[in-house]
Amino acid sequence: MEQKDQDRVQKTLDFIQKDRIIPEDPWFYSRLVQRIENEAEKTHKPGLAGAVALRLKPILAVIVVMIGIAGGIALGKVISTPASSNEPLTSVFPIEEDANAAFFREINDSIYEQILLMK
Amino acid sequence: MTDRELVQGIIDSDQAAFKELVEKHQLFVIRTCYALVHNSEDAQDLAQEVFIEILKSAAAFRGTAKLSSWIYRIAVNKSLNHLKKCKRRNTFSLFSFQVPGGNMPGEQTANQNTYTDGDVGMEEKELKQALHTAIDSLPVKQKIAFTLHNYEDLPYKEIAEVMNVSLSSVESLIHRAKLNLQKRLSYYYHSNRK
Repeated sequence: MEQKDQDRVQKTLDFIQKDRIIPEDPWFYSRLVQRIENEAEKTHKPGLAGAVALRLKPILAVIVVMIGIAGGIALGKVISTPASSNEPLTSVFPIEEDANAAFFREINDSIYEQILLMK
Repeated sequence: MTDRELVQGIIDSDQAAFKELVEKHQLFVIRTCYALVHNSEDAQDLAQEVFIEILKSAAAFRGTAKLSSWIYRIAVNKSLNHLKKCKRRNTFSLFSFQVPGGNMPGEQTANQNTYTDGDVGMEEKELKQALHTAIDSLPVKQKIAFTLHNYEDLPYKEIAEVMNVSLSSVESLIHRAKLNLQKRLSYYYHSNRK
């Protein structure tokens, strides 16, 4: 082995003294605790009741929505039903009916109408 | 707090005891993992895993060995398992350089994370690459004994305790590791010169 190679081998082995220097890490413990907490959360699996509740969640949501819709319809019916629902629809427009009646009464009463009827 | 008290505190879910244990041992745990995997991010992750393992299995610590030896053993096992996983992943991957996280032992890439990458010159990078490649090429037991002795300054007795081998085995492992490293490095430089 050449002297130059021998020197490089020695230099490489001496480099261990530099390679072993590890900087202080003040946040190591905090990160470790964070990791332990994360792993504990991951491993915490829900029990049978929890699993069933998780599966039933969408079904419960649909039921709640349907109850809401049905309740809304029922409430709408109660509120919008008119008090005189048995009367005919025309009675809803009494002013119009009165106006027509007055018109025909007026024609019948007019003198021109009387003449024409006589003929 | 003594080591025994620290462990008892962890068994009793005493957060202050766990914090003290982490702060007391984090540096050597990170350094041990780094010496074996040569990647700073992986070393940080592995060190966290080591302390999580301590938290889980504190009750298993019998107190016959030193607490630090027990922690070193966990750190070494975690690091070796990590290297095995990386090797397996790379074996199953068609393009090993695309595998995220960790490289093959001895496989150095341009984006490898090490603690001194930020402010080193070309020569130091070369030295580091040569050193890591040579250490990674050692047989596992030699690698463990060598890194614990040279990166951690552990006495032979404690290395024997960590590795669960005799004192003479440790001496032999370290001696052979040094010879192998010299051989491999001189071959590395000799072949690079050609």
